[in-house]
Amino acid sequence: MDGEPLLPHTVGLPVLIIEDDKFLRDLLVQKLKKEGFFTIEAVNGEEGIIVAKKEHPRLILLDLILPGMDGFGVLRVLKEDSSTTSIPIIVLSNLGQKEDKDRCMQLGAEDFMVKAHFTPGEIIAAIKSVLKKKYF
Amino acid sequence: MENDGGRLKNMNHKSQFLIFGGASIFVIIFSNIFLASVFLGKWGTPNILSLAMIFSFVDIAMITILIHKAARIASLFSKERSQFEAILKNLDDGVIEHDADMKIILMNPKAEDFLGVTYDEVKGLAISASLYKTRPNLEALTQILYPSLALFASPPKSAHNSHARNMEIHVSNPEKKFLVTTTDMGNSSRGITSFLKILHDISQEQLVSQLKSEFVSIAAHQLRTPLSGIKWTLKLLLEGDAGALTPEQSELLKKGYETNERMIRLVNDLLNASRIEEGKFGYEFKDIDVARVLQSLVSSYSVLAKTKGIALLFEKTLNAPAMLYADPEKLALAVGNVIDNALKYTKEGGRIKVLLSRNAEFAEIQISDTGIGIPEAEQKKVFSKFFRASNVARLDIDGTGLGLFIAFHVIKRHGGNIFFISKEGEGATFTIRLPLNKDSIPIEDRYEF
Repeated sequence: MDGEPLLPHTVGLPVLIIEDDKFLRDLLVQKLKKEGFFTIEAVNGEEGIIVAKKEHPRLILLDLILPGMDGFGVLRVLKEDSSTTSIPIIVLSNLGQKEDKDRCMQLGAEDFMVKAHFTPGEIIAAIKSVLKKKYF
Repeated sequence: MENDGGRLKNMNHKSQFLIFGGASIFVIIFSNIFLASVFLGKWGTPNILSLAMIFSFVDIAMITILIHKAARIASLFSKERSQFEAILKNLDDGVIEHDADMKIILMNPKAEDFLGVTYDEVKGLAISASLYKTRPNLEALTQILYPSLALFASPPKSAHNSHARNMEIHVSNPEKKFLVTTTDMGNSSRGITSFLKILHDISQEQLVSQLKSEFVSIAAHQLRTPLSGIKWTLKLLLEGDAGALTPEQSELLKKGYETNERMIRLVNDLLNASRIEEGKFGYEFKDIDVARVLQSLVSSYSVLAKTKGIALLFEKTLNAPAMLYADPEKLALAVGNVIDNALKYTKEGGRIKVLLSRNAEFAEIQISDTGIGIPEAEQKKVFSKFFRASNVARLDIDGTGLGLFIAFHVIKRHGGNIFFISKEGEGATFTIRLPLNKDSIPIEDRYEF
C-alpha cells in the first residue's frame, strides 16, 4: 500500500469493477467517470485478481456470480494476499440472502449491496463513504 | 349390508349369528325336555307331542340359518382378509407390525423393498438393538425400530387428530429417508398390544423440494440482473446524465422506473415466499428492544405517509414489554408488510396507528387504519398466497398479494399469532401476538401450522 495521503474523491483514483454483465458494467463505468473516478474493468474473477495485483486500485466493486471462480473465491484470494488485502471491496450482487451477505462480510468485504435495490447514485455514495472511512 | 328383513336389518352378521345361536340353544333344550317326557310317557298326549315336533322343526330351521350365517361370516372374513392383503401388497408405503418384544408380526412387500430384508428372514426374531452387528442386512430395519441408531431422527410429533405419531428417520444401508408414522394397536380382549409403523419414502420428495427451491432462487437472481439494468438506465436518464429532459419525457421515465420497481419488489417477495416454504428463511433470534425496532420501522415510513397525507403514529402503553426474543429483521418485515397495506389502502386524510402493549404473557402489536377495509366474504383468505381482495383489485393499487402470507409465516415462526378485525369501508385492525416466553418459540424452521 502506498504512503500517499490521497483524498478519496480526487480525480484519477482508480476503481476496479469486476462484473461479467457488459450492460451493467458499462452503466457503472459511465456513472463513475461522470463523478470523476478513473476506472478499470475485469470481466471475470481470475482477470480481476491479476488486475488488482498489477494496478492496486483504491477500491474494488465485486460481483458474486462470475464465470469461473465466483465472487466469494475472489474475495478470499484478494484478502489473503498481502499485496491486495488492504484494498476495500464493496460486493455488488443480485444474491440477496442473509447468508450470502454474512459470508461476504466475514471474508472481509466493506459493504454488500444488492444491485436491484440501489441506484448508481446510491452506489457512488457508498463508495465515497467507504473511501472516507478507509483513508481518514 | 344385506337387507335381512325386519328388525334384523341393521344388525351385522355376527350379532345375528349370536342371537340365533342363543335362541337355538334355548329351543334345543326346551324341545329335548318335551321329547324326553313324551318318551317317558309322563305328559305324553298328542298335543304335547305336536308341540315337541313343532319345536324340533323350528330348531332345525334355526340351525340351518345358523350354518348359513356361519358360512357367510367365514366368507366375509376371508374376503376381508384378501382385501387387506391386496391393499398391503400394492401399497406404495411400507407397513411393519411388531409386538412389544420387537418381534415382527407383519411386513408388506414395500417395506421389504425399502429396508432390503424379507419378512421370512425376520419372522419370529426378536430384533434387539445390536442384532444388526452380526446380521448387517437388518441395519435399516433396526434403525426404524430404534430411531436413536439412525443417521437422523426428528423428535416425534403428533399426527393431526389421532393417536399416531410422526417422525422423520434417515436410515443407512440402504440410504433412504422416511416419514414414519407409528401407532399402537391395542387388543384389549386378549391384552396384547402390537405396534404399527408406516414408512413413507421422502428421499425423492426432499430432492424435488430442494430442486424447486434452488430453481426459484436461481430464477429470481437471474431476473434481478436485467431489472437492475433497467433501473439504473432509467435512473441515470432521470438524473440528467444523458442530457436535460422535457417534463413530458421525465414523467414517462418516472412511470417506467416505478413499474420496474414493482417488478423488483415482486421478485423479492417471490424469493422470500419460496424460502419460507422451504424453511430456509434464515432466522436469527436474539433479545431485542421491540419498542425501538417498531419506532425505527414506523419512522422509516414517515416520509411516505406524509406524501400520502396520512397520519402515522407509534404508541406504546406503560406496561409494554421492554425485551422480546425475536429476529428483528424478519419481525420488521412482517409488521412492515401490514403497515404497507395500511398505507396502500387508506385514503388521504386517514389515520394509521401502531400500538405496542402487553397482554398477559404476550407482547401485542396492533396496527389499525381507517382505510377501505376487507370484505367479510374474503376475510378467510387474507393470509393465503397471492390473495388480493376484490375491493382492491378494482382500484389501481400495486400489490403482490404476498405481503400478508409472508407476515403470517414470520409471526408463526415466532410462536405467535396474527389476526384482524375489519369492516368494509371502515378500515382494519391487525393484531400480532408474540409470546414473551422463549420456550413458546418453535426450535426448527420447519413447523406445522
